[in-house]
Amino acid sequence: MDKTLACAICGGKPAIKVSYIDSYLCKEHFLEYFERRVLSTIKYFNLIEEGDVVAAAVSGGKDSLSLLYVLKKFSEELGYTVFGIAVDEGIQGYREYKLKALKKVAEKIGVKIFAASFSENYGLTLDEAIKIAMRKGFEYKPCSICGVFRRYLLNLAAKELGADKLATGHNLDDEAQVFLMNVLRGGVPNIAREYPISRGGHEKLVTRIKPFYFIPEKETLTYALLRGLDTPFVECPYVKYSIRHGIRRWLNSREREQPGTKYKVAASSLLYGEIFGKTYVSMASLQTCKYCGAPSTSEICRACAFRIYLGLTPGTIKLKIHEI
Amino acid sequence: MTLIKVHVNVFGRERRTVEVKKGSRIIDVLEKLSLNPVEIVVAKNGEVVPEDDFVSDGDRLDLYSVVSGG
Repeated sequence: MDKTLACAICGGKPAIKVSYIDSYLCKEHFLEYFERRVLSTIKYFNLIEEGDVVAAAVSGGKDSLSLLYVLKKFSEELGYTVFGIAVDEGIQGYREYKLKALKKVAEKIGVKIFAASFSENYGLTLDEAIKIAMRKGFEYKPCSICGVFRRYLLNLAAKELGADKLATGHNLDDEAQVFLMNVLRGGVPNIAREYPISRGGHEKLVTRIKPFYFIPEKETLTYALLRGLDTPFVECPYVKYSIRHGIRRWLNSREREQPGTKYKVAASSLLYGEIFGKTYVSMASLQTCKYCGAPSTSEICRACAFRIYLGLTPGTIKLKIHEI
Repeated sequence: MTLIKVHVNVFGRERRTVEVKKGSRIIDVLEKLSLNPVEIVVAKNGEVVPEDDFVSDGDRLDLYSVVSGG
């Protein structure tokens, strides 16, 4: 092996090149570096308080498996409890494999996982919803419908299961992509809302936290592989429809040419969140959805609006959830 | 110029044999496959390694895609 290919800390065999600090790290020092940054994020932004019950939104992908592992690891030190909530959207050939991987990891680390499905709670799978949307001219893309339905169920489940915080696996790449998408759309209120912890609470909304806010996506995958958190080689069949896909590719090509680009974009996002966050959060008067009573920025929440669009009946959902 | 053969498992979907010059690095193999190293994690003969690591004749590379949709 080339002499220059050595861990910057111990000189051992490297597992990863961390381009933005121009260094190689071995397995041991990369895991330590990864976990230290997550812990710093949790502490600096006060994401979790002692005694909290934390629900981790888990899909069985590399981000959420790593998230579950790290949250469990820190739970004793920081004095909180953690469990997972999985949403089965009903994407054939994809989600069933991811959920199997999730169950295996959860058993290995000793965390309970609860699962709620679109079919049991909304009356149809995402695959069925997409077929309806396609017949209607594909006005809404799969990721829009899926994201709204998933967030709604996650919040409902977290609330009913007594969680104080809902942790998601959103990483640095997600934050940088969302910021650029919001800039392109001119969505200043959305830019101001993005932050490692949700602000402007509501009694029906569980506070959302993002412990991986400063972790690049490549590192969450490397962490999962190095920790033996196996996730199958399957890709969501609807990823190609996402408008985020193009932005992601572009951002990754910029990152290759100039390592650290994503951090610079995320820093701008954070700055906007700091400067405009309080103003927009206090201005955004939340209403109550006239069908289901959920907090909403308009008369009808997006989950009920999508249910109407898909020919379903809007209204309160009596949560159906079970431990897997 | 001596060429070596590297066996590549591309995201569990496709198996390719790539020929590169002796003394090449993983990044050269990714280049031949038109892949951006920012979007890939590589295991060489079962061990996670950086993309600057060298390849030898007969090495097996497993490529993991960062872009998996969650």
